[in-house]
Amino acid sequence: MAKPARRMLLPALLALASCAKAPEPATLAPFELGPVLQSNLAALEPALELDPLPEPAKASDVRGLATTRATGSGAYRDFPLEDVKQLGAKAIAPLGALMLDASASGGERTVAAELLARLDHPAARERLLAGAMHGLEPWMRSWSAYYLAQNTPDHHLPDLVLRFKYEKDPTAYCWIAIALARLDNFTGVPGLIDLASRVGDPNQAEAEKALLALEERLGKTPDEIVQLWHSHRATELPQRQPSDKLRARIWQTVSKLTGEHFQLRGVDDARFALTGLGAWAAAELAPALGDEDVYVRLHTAQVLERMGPRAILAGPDLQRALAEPQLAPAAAEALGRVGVPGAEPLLRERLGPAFDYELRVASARALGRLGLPASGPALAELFAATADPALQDLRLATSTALVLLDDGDRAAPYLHGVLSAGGPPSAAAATALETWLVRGKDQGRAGFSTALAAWRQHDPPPGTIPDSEKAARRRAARAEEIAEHVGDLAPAP
Amino acid sequence: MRKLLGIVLVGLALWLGAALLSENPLPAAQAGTFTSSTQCQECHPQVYAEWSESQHAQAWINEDVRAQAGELPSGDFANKDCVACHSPRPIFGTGLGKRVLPRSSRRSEGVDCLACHQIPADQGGGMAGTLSNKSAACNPQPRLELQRVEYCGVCHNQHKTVDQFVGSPADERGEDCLSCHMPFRQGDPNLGRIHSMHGGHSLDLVKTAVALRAERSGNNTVRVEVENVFGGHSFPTDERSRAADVFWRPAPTGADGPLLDAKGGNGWRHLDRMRSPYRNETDIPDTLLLRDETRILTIDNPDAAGPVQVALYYKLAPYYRDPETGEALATETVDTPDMDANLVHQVSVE
Repeated sequence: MAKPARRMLLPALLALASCAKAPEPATLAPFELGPVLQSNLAALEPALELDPLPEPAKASDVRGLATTRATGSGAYRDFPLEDVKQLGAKAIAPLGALMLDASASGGERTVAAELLARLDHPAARERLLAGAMHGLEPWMRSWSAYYLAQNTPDHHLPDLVLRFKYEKDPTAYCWIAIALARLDNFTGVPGLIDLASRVGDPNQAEAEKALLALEERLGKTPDEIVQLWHSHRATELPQRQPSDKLRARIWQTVSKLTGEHFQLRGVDDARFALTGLGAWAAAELAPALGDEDVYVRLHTAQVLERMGPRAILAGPDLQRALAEPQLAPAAAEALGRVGVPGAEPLLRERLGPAFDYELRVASARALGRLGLPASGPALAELFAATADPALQDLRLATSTALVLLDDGDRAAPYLHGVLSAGGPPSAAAATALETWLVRGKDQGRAGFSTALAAWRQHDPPPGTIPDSEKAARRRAARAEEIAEHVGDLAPAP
Repeated sequence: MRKLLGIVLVGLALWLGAALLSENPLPAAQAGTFTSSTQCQECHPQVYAEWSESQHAQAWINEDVRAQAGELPSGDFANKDCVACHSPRPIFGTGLGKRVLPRSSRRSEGVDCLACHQIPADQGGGMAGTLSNKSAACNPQPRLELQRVEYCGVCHNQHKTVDQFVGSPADERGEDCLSCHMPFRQGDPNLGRIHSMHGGHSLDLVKTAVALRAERSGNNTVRVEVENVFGGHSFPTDERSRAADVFWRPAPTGADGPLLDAKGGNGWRHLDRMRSPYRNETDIPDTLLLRDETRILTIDNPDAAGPVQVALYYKLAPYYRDPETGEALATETVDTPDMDANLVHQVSVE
């Protein structure tokens, strides 16, 4: 080839090469999607089958025993105990019905719960669970929970956790929390701490007793237990080997997440129940990230995200989930909330333009929550490269992440600009700016304390009726007031 | 080698020529490149302006919503159950009849242009609309799904509004969601549909949905009728946080202004409430005014034989709260509904 032609060819090839796609990021081994849910249900649901109950005793006979127990006195009152014991499983159905029969007296119904508990039979405990879950009267739910707490099978965990979403009665709440704690589930401990602190509350003594028992058993204060429960070290708390029955109940709960269910109430309930499980449950749930149903995959990621650091055992699977396009943003969010440091390089890589915009935003948010210094340069670079208004959401997420990485000075003028402009993104900008001020104050930086005080002067009084216009005015006032501070507090990096 | 170079150059020239003579000199952008509804503004300023004023645009940032959803200091909804409908991924990605899924980006844009119009790349990409225009940057495709009630139902049927609509008098009349909530501009299909999507926040629209009547009947009683005249869905519908209340009071006498009682209230007394309870309110009955219902209420023994006023109030948030403390008030104790509700209709009975 003649020299001039060769001289032309090289730049041409380089030019062609520059037109090629950016190098593909490192690939992750994705899940092979399959019927994870169905397989688990098929394998585990038989464990929940109860032996058929014998022909039930006559309801009137059983009610008579309950009446005697409720109204009798002295030794006479104890006679029904032996009678019911002899009836055994035949008494379960009539007692279960009596317990929820609104036409029966409170005494009879309470005794029905007691007698069910004394039968110490799996089917009887299911009736007590029904009483704790669905009893219309708070006292009925409380008594059911009380008796259940004496001997709770572990597969009741998801139902009992779910009860926290709806239970308004403090006594019922107290006994559910005690039942859960006895199963090494500590979701209810903050509630017990609260009840124990209420001087004069009828539940105070029982809550104190339960907390003391926990402290003696675990060698940790209630506050330490709560702290551990919400941390990666949740795995250091007692972890029981889940029974097959419990695993079956968990997968039955997962089945409520599928796309088959349109109404969100059941989906919300399932997410709530699963979120309240212990650290071990993250490992049980993680395979659902590979289910063939996108709703199951995505909602499972949300459950793990809501579990927070307690879901650390799902870290590797959440990282693999980054390879599934539909799931990746939710997986990234979960990795941030759970706090999986090993995911940092993967998330940082996913800030790049080769990735879906949703994933980039979620990754920026997750990196902020991880708060690792290694993310700093990439986030700063991304912040500089996202001035295009169409990328505002990515820039806001990046700005918030920079604030959380203590590099908020870089983003503060931009955030202030967004706040001043008002409109939809100003709420997120306000949140990020407030975090920046709080962190600056906590670090003892000059001027931040004054600026934060000025900012907080606009806080609405507690209990104020939310109002969009007031909120917009509040943000505008803050933007105006803080304008003089931002320039001083955030020198150009 | 020169021959090879010649072939390459000729090939390049042909490719260049073909590109220049192409029917579409500007290849349509892939819908996937759209990352914000702000990108729609340049070509669709009127639609964008209307949407910006809509409650869809407020779905994520509305303070009432954020309060219900338990806003976290992070600026996210604490109650993530709400995220899917308040910041949904494109509906075409999940499909009609399916729940929408939540998105991670541009949440502050709420229910935005892309949520309703973006067609995922694996379905050909582009934006759903009424016309096909290959030269437009967003590559619009005509998609009739946009007009179906099931399309709105992917979110709004969480509150069973579409279920209420199907088979309703409005449905029988051949109307749909768009008839009332997204009519044509100036009634002219050529001008396109109004994207403000008026609903419960438009008192004018609320007024057309329901009628209030009252008359004195025998035995010193006043008979009150509240009729769902629109008949498309329950009143109120959709948001469980909405409520409507009927109040009455002896008409103010001797003064033009509102009657003030000893506590400074306006003397209203609660008569009835129309509301669907929220998910965790398992002990509250559902009292919505059904799509073809006329509710008959009775005021027994009004204090005076004189005139009585009856009013229907509409609330965007379910509970009346003490303006001073913010504490929720028992509805039956409220005597000044104006403080926290909008007057829809008021009638007087002589």
